[in-house]
Amino acid sequence: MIAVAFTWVILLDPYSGTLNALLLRSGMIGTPIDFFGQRDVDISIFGLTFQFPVALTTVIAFEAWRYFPLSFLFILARMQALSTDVYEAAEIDGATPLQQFWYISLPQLVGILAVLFLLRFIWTFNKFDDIFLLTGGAAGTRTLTVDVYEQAFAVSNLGAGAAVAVVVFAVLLFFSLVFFKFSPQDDG
Amino acid sequence: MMRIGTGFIAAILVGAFWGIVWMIVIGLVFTLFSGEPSAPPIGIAGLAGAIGAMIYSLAPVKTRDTPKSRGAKVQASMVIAIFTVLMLATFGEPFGLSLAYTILPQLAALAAFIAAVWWSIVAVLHDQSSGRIGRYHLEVVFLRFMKGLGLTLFTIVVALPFYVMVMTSFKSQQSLISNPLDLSIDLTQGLSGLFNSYIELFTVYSFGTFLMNSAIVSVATVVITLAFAVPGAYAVARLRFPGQAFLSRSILMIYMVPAIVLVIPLYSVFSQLGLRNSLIGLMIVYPATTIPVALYMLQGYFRGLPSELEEAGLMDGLKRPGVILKITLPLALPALASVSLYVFMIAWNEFLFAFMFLDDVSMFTLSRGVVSLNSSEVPRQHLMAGAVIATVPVLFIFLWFERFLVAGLTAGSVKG
Repeated sequence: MIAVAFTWVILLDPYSGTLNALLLRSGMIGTPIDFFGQRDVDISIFGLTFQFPVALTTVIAFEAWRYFPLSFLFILARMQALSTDVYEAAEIDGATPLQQFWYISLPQLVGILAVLFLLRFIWTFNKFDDIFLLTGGAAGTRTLTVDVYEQAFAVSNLGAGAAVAVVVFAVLLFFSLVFFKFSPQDDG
Repeated sequence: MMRIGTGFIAAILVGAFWGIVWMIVIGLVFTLFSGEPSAPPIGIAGLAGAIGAMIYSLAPVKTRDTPKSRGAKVQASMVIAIFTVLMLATFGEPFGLSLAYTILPQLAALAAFIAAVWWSIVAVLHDQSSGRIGRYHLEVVFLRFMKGLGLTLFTIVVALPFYVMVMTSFKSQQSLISNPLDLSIDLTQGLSGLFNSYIELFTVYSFGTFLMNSAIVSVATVVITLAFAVPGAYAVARLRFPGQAFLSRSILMIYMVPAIVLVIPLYSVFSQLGLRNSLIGLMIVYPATTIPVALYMLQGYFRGLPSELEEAGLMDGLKRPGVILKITLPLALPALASVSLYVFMIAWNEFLFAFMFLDDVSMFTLSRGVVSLNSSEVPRQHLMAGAVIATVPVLFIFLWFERFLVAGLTAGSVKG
């Protein structure tokens, strides 16, 4: 929903945003960070300088923030369906909590994790609204879907836009085939 | 008897981490509620937490949680130790601010800090001794700490943007620019001042019309979607016909086709048909995007219903439509509710088609209307007020029907 996208834009605004004010006042940064407008920032560690993409990272953080609850629900539903007998047996055998998670829970969750990974990948790949509202495709965040809009409506070249849309569709088709290959067959 | 071992070290670490975590969290909350820029003394808070945990850890496990015997003394000395260390080491300024002004919020924050640290230390360490504890108990302590930390962080990360959204919508332009940290409610400006943005949105920016448009389109989408999805899902789930398996699979496939791929062809076709700048156009496009989801969710549920009931109905002389109406639908009521809600939310929040198709302000849906507020001429608090108006109906509907929605969402769709 677009409300949260605008909330993030206002929260992270370089001049009137709460987060920047917070970081400035506590002395963690010297100048405000333009989270959605800055392409990258130079970070040097041990004399090595590399460029850290700011806007792209913020957009990724937003997507993760926005969609983790859905994955959370699916994983929770799967976890509640796990049988408790195995854990009781493991407890008696002296398995520690982390061992129980690693050797009992995780192997049973691999299926849903793989499905979620692919689904989320496909959906985020096709996502237009979020990035369009956050950055408008500026500062190194122009994804294929934003490019469709830019070509077709900002530059008013419907043909070029349609061409990019076909590319998006081809990529989607490929990943959907992968998804159907890997998704379990037992459900309807 | 005092024993010092891995349990003691773990206790010190837990105490220090809780001190740091709660100081950051409460410092942040205090800043956002009072508008005073606090400089939380993180190191000192860690020290205070560590000393408190040390006292608690060294007391005998059996009696320290029973208030009747020695427990009260242990816990009281722990609270006093945390308080004393914090006050002494910060020279009486627990949040890096003089206590002379904003005394009440500061005292409240201080009390909240001590209570939070005290409670978290007890919750993590309550049955752990200070002596040598094995890997099992170390992991128990670690996981308890991580659980608390995770819950705290997730709460903040989820709640903070919504808090900022609501509070910003109550501010005036000047106060937003002069102090972006101040997100408290200023009650001195009166009710009309407080709701100024909302009043302006409904009077100047005609948000009432947008709200109405969104409601019409969303409800129509739900009705049309169900009208197509119910028979479709029933056919895929129950009837035998060639290509049934293929159809069942391709539904999901259609669901995955992104809207942005469809928007260009639909844009040109709808322009020529004259459907582009109208709500009717949206009522055609929205069901087309939601029917696959609804079909998929419903067919999963229909499959789970016992077919004997329907066969009995057929034996007793009902036709297929009668079976669907009188037997299947009443049984599938929870699924219908969750599917309608889901479809409603999709239609309500839809942005791309509304953004592309609607030019006329009187046609705008809510999301299109909120986007039109995102310009440099419109004050920021109006944008946030618009966001609140767009969120609140969905939020209420969701909270009301949450039980249905969650169960239907996960049961009808992908299973791992």
